[in-house]
Amino acid sequence: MKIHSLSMKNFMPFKGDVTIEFPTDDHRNVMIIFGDNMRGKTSVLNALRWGFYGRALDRHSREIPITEIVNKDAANEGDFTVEVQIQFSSNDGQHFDLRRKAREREYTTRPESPEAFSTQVSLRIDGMPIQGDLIETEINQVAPEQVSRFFLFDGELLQEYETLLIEGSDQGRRIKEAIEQVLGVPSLINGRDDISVILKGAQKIQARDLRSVQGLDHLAQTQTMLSERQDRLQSDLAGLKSRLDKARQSRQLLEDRLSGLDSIHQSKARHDSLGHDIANAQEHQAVLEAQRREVLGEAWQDLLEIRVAPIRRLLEERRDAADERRADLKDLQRQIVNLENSLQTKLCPTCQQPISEEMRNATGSELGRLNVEIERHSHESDDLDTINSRLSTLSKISGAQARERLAKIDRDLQQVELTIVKATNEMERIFVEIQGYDTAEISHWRTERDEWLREDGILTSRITATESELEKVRQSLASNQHAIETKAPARSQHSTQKVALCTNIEEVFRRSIESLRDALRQDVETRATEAFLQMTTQEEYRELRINKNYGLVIIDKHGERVDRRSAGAEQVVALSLIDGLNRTGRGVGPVVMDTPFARLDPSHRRRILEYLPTVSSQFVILVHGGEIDEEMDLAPIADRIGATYLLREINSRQTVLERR
Amino acid sequence: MVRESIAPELSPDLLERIYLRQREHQFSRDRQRAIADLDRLIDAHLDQVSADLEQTGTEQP
Repeated sequence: MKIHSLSMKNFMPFKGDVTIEFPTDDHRNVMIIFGDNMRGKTSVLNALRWGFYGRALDRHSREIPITEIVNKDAANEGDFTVEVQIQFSSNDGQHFDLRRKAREREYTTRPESPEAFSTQVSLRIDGMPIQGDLIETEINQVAPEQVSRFFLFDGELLQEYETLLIEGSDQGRRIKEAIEQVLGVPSLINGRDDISVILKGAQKIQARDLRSVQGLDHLAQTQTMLSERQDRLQSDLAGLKSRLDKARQSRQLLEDRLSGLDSIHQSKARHDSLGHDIANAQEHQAVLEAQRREVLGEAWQDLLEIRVAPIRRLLEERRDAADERRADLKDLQRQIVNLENSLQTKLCPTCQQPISEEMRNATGSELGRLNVEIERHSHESDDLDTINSRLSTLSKISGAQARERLAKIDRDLQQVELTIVKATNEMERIFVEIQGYDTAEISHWRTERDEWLREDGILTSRITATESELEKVRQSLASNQHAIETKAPARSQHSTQKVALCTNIEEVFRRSIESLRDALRQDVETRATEAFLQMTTQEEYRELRINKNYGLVIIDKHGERVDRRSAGAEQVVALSLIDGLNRTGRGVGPVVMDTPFARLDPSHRRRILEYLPTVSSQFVILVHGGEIDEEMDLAPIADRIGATYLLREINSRQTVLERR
Repeated sequence: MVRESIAPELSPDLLERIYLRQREHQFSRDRQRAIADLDRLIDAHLDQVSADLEQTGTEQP
């Protein structure tokens, strides 16, 4: 397939009529459209999607409503017509002219909802108009929508392919389904199902035919009974699968809604947690304030202590002095006893020698002096008792250490107040962030999503059980059919021959699905490896190896799996997978890539630019100046470039396309 | 491989034609057209087999 031209009218930033002529030469098959961010590169990709399939997608793969597709300036001038025309040819040389046009419905002055628009689509093949209900089928023959992600793709979403390496991921399952579609696996699945419908019809006719043959009516009866059981089980299975699809769609819808709201939910949780923190801090604050009041109530003791302390110190000094004097008194008393003994015995108290009369007079005189002194000391002893008594009274008045305790409480209070202020400020900031969002509704969505996940598990298990039961019935039908075929009168009937043939074909298709998958996986692995080795700059890498989900891992030259891959390596692996799939399943066709080089270094860019044009009928890249170096990157493929366009801004709502 | 192990008498040519027809209808939402196409193919094959039998006078397994 080759695209010849894309014409747009009022499509997103393109006001009025804009046409892009695609290069159709086999060798000069590269087209580059340059454009800065927000200039409309993705809109070109979307114009192709909308033209082919009637839907444009945003970066989250959500459909963009027609109200957002119509150019804003044109709409302001009252022109709500959006039109895309794609001229393309199939590999067998047929020429297609596809036009899709949307405009406001009659009697609508200003359409504000998608329902206010009507869309018309027309297709001519080699000039012959195609009827409406066949248009979709014809387009799908050449460019099937289900596999369009592999030839009309957004480089920003290449990392999605990493999910193929994660067992059981939803996104991985969706991509795997798309991969199997491009590879043609559904042809076998549909074949099995379609043959099954034909087989059931043939079995009914066979049962009717057999009832008229004597001796075969019991086999006919068994077959009818088994067929009815099979019908019931198939109907149950279809119902379960439909419910599972609905459950998955509903869950996906909620996942999509929640994907951008995760941060809001987290902020709400933080908001609630801060609320609890503030409540706890306020409780602590109340306790501290109560303690503070209690300490203040005891502070008067500290004021009294100021007055009491010097008196206490004075009394203590006086008590110490009195203590010293009491020791002196004891000494005096001992001296008096010695002197009195000396006067009585007339002997020296120290050497026990007789003392002279003169010495005795002196001793008597000394004794008199000591007695006076001792009398004076006895009055001071009364004073010591008074001091001790006053000190005992004053000791009952002790300080509350209110100052230290208050200082500590105040420090704690400051800390708590700081916590409350910080938490309140953060809460206010979060409030601004989450205001306008119904956080209760977000919580509700999360619960609902979890419910759908649970439902998914229940339905999956019931589907497995029903399939197993169905398989048993199928085997019983096959045994019964075998018994019928042993009877000559039955064997000659057309209906029996048809049932036998359809049973075999159905079984071959059924059993072939897994072996086809294996063979296709092997093919994809081989082709993706070829592409990878052409595009990677790392000589250590030897091959890619595919897993059951079509995820690819890099194997190095020592046969070791490379688990840590750079963002660039991931992108090259994803491109290799896409190339492998396109070449295995789709045949040669155009590849349109939006922002494919954002994560790649110049060496990888060069190798990709050299390789991909050789394996596609047309290689179209939509790039911004930052991801490609015109001189360095494009020089090696200069002879392959068939067209170059530039998207230039007129204003924020309008872009023009210039051919260079 | 699968055919040989399940039904070696089954015509590979018929299987291939059915598969190719299914590939044409892979992306068609209207299964009735695909089923009608397939039914015609099978009936035509059976008619052909019957005609061959009449000519050779032998019974096919």
